[in-house]
Amino acid sequence: MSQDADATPEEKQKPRAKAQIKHSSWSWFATPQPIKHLFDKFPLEIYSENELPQRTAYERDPHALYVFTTNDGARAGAPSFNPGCLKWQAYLKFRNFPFITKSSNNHASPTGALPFLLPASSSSTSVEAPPSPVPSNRIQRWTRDVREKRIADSKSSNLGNKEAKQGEAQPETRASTEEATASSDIWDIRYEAYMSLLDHRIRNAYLYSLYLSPPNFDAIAFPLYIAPSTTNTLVRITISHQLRAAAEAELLKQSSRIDVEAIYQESEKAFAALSDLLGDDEYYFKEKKPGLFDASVFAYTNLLLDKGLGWRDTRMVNGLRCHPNLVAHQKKLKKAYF
Amino acid sequence: MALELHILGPAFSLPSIDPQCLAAIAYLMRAVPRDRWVLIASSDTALSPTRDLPAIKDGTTTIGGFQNIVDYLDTKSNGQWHLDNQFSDSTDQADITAFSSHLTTHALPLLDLSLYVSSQNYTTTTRPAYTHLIPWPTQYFIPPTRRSLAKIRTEHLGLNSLDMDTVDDEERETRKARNLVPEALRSTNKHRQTVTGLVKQSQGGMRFRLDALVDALCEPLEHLLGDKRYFLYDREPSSLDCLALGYLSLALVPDVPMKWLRERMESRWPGLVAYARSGVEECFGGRVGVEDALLVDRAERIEAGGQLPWRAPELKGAKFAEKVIWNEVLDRVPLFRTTILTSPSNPESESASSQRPSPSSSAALLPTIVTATTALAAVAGYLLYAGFGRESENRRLSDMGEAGAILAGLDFGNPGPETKAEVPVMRGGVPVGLEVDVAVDEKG
Repeated sequence: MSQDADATPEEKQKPRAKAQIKHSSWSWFATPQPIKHLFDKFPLEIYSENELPQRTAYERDPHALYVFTTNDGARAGAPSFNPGCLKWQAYLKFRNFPFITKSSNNHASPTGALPFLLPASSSSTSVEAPPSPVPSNRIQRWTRDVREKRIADSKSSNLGNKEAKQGEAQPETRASTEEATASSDIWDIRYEAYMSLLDHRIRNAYLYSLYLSPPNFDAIAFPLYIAPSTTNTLVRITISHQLRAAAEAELLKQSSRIDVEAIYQESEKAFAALSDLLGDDEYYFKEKKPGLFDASVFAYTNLLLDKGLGWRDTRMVNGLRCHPNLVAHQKKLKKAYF
Repeated sequence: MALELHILGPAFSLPSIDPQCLAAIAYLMRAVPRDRWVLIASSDTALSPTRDLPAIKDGTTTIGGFQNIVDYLDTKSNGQWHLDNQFSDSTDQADITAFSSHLTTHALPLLDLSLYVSSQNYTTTTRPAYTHLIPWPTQYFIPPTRRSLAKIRTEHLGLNSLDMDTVDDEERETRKARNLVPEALRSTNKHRQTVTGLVKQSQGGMRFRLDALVDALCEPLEHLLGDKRYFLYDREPSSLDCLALGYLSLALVPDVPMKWLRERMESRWPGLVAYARSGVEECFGGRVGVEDALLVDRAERIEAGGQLPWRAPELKGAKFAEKVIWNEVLDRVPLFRTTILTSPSNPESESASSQRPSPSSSAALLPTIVTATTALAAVAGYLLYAGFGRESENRRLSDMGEAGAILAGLDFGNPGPETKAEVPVMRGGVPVGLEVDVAVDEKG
């Protein structure tokens, strides 16, 4: 998106350039003309670009999802401790997508935020450019594309192998059912509305509860996010200050004061609404398999109900525990997929 | 004693310029008997413990924020003044929560873009509206503060080309960088015209994305509404209806030069538009002017058959400005600044606002007052500077009349007024970027 914003003025500049150079050339700090002419001659020679280093194929074979996790957790495929990462990790698992998790941090991501997915390079053609990473907001589309491609491939190969009518019918039906489950973009008027509960109300409460509530920050955020990155006390203090300031700034965008009571109450209402939406069903929107919405809910409920994390300020956790069906939903998904 | 509902004042013929305030007015109109509350356009955010209006004042208790007000009215009246209590079904309650969240999170960025971020709408409509509501000199820093907040909130949408100021800033930056980099190293491919670039230039792409945002807001709401009179049931409105009225009316009613929001809603979501218009009529009763809110004699108003129970604010003019500046000063003193409220809804532990020294009560503390006055002067100066600075970036000395022309003559450093600054004057609904290009072409 930022690229778009940058591009506009650049392109507009062309017709205007004549008028502007006249005005902007005079300044105390402008480079004197002779020196400018001299430097315009540089560089004398421009070498051609080096090729990007190609990694060994075996390392890149499976798709790799980069998430916040510990090194041990990455090897075991344990759920990430960041809700944004866990949502996509869970989603890929629900879709039975083969991938490995890798421990990483925001600085590694091309978009500046985790998670991102590095698709497996097609091993046979090593000449082609390495696959570009998929940021989190495109993962859903990417999985759909991959599936469709795979279906199309299997279809064409099947057709090529045997032209018998029976053989044709089989992949056709399989493709259609698979497609239905793969996209599974059930459109429900409630989908967007209830998703906004997760993306805003519950996220706000989670942000406050994890970063700004001091007991939780010391008990959970510090050992998970800050301690692994450095052992230097000064740097740790700076990072934790930055993290908290970022969380505070995020919450202050919505109001001029962070009204803690209101935030918690809203999250409690949101959990009640989500619990009501789930009802006695197994998965959200009466699906047979868990989908993206289940993954989004699971991302928060799994973290809040994880006893290993050790929540000290348990206001939010208690709000969640009031709804047995949400707790059961989390338990079932955790057992089945992690 | 009657409840006092404090709001930001009227604008665009609506009783308030703020969506949450409008929602609160609609809620009280529908839930509370008319003789039990008054409406005060005090525009004084310091009243509220959350520093956001609307705020409701009941004797010594002050409650801020729409949802908190709804909850407070519920407890105060033992559930009588709660619109949502009539829906016993838990699915209805869940829907109210979810769609309220959907509405606030999707509609607020659109209002931000339409009323604050878009330079044209802001300078021709929103800023003048504020000038009428709040006394001098507060209009020099309240609207810019709200505008910069709106910009921060909508940053992630990547639509800041609506804002001519940032576009000009970025252009200036790139120009500066271009002069420093040798010609051979300047990347040339940036200036190649692409199809996407052309689309973007004509603002077609931006319009497309704005329309997508509007649709994302309206689609679920229109489906929920269906043919019903209110969102949930035909017979009775809910708190969701009040909230929706606040946001939708501000999207539809203001007469702004760039009407993308209204146009899209009218062409694509007529059911929702009709719903909002009838709601405005029902709750706010036609046009509301600033004079209705600020200058009224209450008796006259009732005789005139006004629908809203207005009462004139106590603080006016210089006193109001003094209070606002004082609070701004305290907000900028690091140790005084409290951004996190732990128990604001608890009436016993009074909010931070009452613990703060008021301008009058601090007379006993002479040293404090001396330092504070200095700080006040400094910060007031800074605020004025910042307010002017932010808003007058594109102004040139020559824009300031005769004195400006003389000063411009003295200013050897700047190569005279830039013709470019005059370009973004718009006529009709022509998209910004397109207009700029055309104007330049005419000159060149």
